[in-house]
Amino acid sequence: MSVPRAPNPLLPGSSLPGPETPQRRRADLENNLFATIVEEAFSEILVFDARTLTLLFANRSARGNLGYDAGEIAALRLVDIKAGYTEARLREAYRPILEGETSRMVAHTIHRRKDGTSYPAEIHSCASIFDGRAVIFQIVLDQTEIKHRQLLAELGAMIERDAAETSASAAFLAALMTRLGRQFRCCAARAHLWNPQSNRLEPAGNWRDEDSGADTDTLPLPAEGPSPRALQRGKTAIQRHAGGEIATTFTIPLMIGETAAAALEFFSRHDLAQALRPELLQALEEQIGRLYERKCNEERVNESRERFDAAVNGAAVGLWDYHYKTGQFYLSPRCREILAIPDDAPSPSWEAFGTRTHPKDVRRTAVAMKAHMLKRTPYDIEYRYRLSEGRYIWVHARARGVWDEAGNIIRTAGTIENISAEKEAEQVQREVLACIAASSDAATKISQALDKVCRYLGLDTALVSHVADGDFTVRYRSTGGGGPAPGTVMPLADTICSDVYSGDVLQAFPDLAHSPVAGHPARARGRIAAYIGTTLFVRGVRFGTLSFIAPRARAPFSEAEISLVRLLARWIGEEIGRAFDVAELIENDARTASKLASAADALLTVDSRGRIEDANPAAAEMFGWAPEQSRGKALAGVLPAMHAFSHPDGRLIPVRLRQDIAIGRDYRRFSVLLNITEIHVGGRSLFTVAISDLTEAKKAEVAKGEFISIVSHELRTPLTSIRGALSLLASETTGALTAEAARLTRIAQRNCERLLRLVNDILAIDKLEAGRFEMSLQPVDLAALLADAVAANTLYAAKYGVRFRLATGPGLPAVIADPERLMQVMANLLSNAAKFTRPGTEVDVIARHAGRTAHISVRDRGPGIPEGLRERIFDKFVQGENVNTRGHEGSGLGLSITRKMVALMNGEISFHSEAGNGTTFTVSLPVAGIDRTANPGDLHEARP
Amino acid sequence: MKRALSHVAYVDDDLDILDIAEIGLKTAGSLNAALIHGPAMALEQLVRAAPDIILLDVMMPGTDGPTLLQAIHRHPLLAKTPVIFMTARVQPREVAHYMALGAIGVISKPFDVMTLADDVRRIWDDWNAGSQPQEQP
Repeated sequence: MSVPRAPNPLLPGSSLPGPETPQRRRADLENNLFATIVEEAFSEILVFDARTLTLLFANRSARGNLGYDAGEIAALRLVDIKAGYTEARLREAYRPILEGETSRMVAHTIHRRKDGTSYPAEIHSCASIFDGRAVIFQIVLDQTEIKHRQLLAELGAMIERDAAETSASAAFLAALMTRLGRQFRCCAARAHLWNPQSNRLEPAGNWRDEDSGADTDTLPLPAEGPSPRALQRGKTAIQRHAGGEIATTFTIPLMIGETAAAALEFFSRHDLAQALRPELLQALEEQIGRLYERKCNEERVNESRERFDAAVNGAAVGLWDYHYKTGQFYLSPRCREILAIPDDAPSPSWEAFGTRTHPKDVRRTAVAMKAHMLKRTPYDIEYRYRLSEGRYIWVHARARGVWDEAGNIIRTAGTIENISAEKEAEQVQREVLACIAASSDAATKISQALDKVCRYLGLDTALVSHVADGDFTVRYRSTGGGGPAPGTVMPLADTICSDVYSGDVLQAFPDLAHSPVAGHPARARGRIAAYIGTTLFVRGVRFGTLSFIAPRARAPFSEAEISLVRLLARWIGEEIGRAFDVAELIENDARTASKLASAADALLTVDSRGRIEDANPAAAEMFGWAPEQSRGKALAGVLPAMHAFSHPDGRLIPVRLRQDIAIGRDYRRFSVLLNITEIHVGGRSLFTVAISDLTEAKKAEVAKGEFISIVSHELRTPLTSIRGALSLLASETTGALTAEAARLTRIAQRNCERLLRLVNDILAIDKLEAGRFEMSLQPVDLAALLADAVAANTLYAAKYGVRFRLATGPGLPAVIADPERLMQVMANLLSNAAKFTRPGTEVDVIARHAGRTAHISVRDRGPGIPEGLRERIFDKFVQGENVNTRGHEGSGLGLSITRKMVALMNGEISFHSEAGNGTTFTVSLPVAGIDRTANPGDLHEARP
Repeated sequence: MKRALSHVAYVDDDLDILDIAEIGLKTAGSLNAALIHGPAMALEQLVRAAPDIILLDVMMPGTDGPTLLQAIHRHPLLAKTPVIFMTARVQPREVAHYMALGAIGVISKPFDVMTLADDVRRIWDDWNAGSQPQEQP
């Protein structure tokens, strides 16, 4: 609108109308000064016509803030500036000062700038008359800064309150999101926490404004969170987005140090660029960051304190702290609990503690404390503390001290624990050990130990069982209580121990009703409510179980109690093992003792130096010792020829069936048979010498020999006479005989010879079998002997019409033989051959040698030895059938004697027979030669 | 001093054997023989017989041959008279035993009555010759 412009007297440089007078000049000057002041004032100054509400004047500040230059001001109407007001309302607003009701007015309004932005303003208005017009002067104070500061202050205060009211940092962030989101007209906000492992800010919760209408739940938020690197201190990002629902996003980083520990993202549909000044956000960022950091620290402190508290309280250890200057004890709640000092009771004094110490421990604790204070040794002591009248507990106190520079102790702080349970367990252990170590028998020891532990555990009955073949046998039982008596047998499956035994573990059920074995029949049958048991091992092998039972449930078993049961099981296992060892030893001893006692032979145990350690009753009898007298005696004292069976160092050489001479009681010498064997006992080498008295045997043998001798003599004596008489008769020494008489005499003679032969054979075979036949082995001229043998038997053979043909080659060596016996052998073979060969034929006697053996063969041309007889030909009383013989001529002992004799001469006899083609007997004998050490005349007691 | 055997004394507890021996020694053997039924009074009879050689039965009840031999050796008049044992026990050891006792020979029973005198003579001759005492089968 174009208004004629009157000269503006308010502008500097203008002059008042009228003549120029000194007063006018002075007035001009005053005007100019006034105009300059107004123009250059810091505050915005506006002057406008009250009637037309047109702007008359705006000073530089106002012009600058509003954005108009001087020329444009004149064209401005007030409504252009005063946002949201109509002229009518403006007039209404200014009426009080226009009508003089008041001279000044203060109002708050919003001014609009030329560029459309606005700012809050505090207006101080007054009215005046100027140049005949009513004008209003206004001083305008831009409230933007103030408002911001107000906002910041308010917001800051609220944020502080939020921080104080939230305990967790996360809750604080949530509160911030709500407050700032609402404040800045956001529809949503998102919190991010930095994850150190991924080094990213990860979403940790969001806020949506339910009041902002629209569908906030489905509002799409940008997927990516802020990058931690992009966030820097003091550089809060405000982003405007064109298009889409979200118009503005801004992010407040919460920095701890140089890193963003968290970030708050805000999303708004509105354009917040105007309302959100970076300085505001920066200030908020600083405050929030500070508060957040503090919160995080508090949380960490709380967490560690909680952990500490948990540890301290969980360990059931009490903490205490003594300040020497104040004489005050700090006792943690747990400590008070242990020492039974009520929470509300004052901390006791040092002396009070002293009076509560057990009299026997006073000195010890005092000494320890003194050492701690003076020598700075850690305080570590166990003592008894009186909880109440007559009731003591064992406590373990440990502490360290703090000293000042002068070396005075300031504080001692540490822990205290109730160790009564452990002490009690220790005590019971000691008692059980004492039981075990006592020198009574295993059964007593074990029962006593069972009693003690049973009492300690507060249970009724303790059982030690032996389990074998599915049977549970009670071996030992505590003396008190009920339960099966020792010796009771029941199936293992019927006992609760069956679990323990098969599983090889310790089972503790303080309340069977609430245990895995609640359904076990033994519980009802045995009325068992509490049980603790474990497997028993004896000598490394599963033996049975150790168990404790009671008809009432009890408190859970402590570690100390379980340890004690395990230890007891081990001790009992060892004890049973020892008892077994002893029992075995005793049994072995008893058996050995009975063997030794009943042995008829003397048995001596001799050490490696030839000293007698032990002698059985028979030995004592044999050698005339009193019991126990044998020990230490030298074996050589009873076996003088001991050196023959000892090493040079005196150790015996094991021998078997050795005949020797022993010296018995009264220095009587007698024949004995020795058996010496070596044994090892306990790492030592010992010898068992068994001595059989051969006196009786020898006597018996002698007696038998004598019997045989006597019998043979008795048999032979009459034969001598008969034979002699017949000989004399036959020889006609005493006179001629008639032919008849002669024939009868010959008959008698023949039979007499036969009888004699029979007697001789019987005696011979007896001797041969008894090993009493003596051979006189010597080199024998075989050729000569055979010639003699043939000669001696020629007459006999002639009776059968048989001739002997002897063939001994040249260089026939001598053989080792008994000449007489060899003659006997040859006589036997030759006579047999003569008997059985075909009458009129020849019997060959062939001798040859091969290497070290000489072979003598006697070959007949008879029918041969029948098949059935061949196996038995050398047996006693076996005779061949011979139709040629007149009656039986032999005793049947010939070949058996022959064989034995040949054997005694270290030779062999064999035969070869063909039916119808005769038989050849061959005797093989050793040739007398270089390796034959037998001397002529040597007497060898030959053994069959 | 070597001289022919002429007088023989035979001590035995068996009368039949003594009879047989008498015929064998005297008739078949042409020796003077004193047959002494012992062992009782044997020593005196031996002294009276004063033989060149004594044949001594071993198995006699009461005083056996060896014991009598010892008595003979102690007797001043008989000590030098050689003795032959007559015995059924003729195992080498036994023979050695008898020899060790002081006999000069052993004749086994039952003896061959026909050769008895010769056997005794042979032993006598061998003894006189100083050779080893022999046993005769």
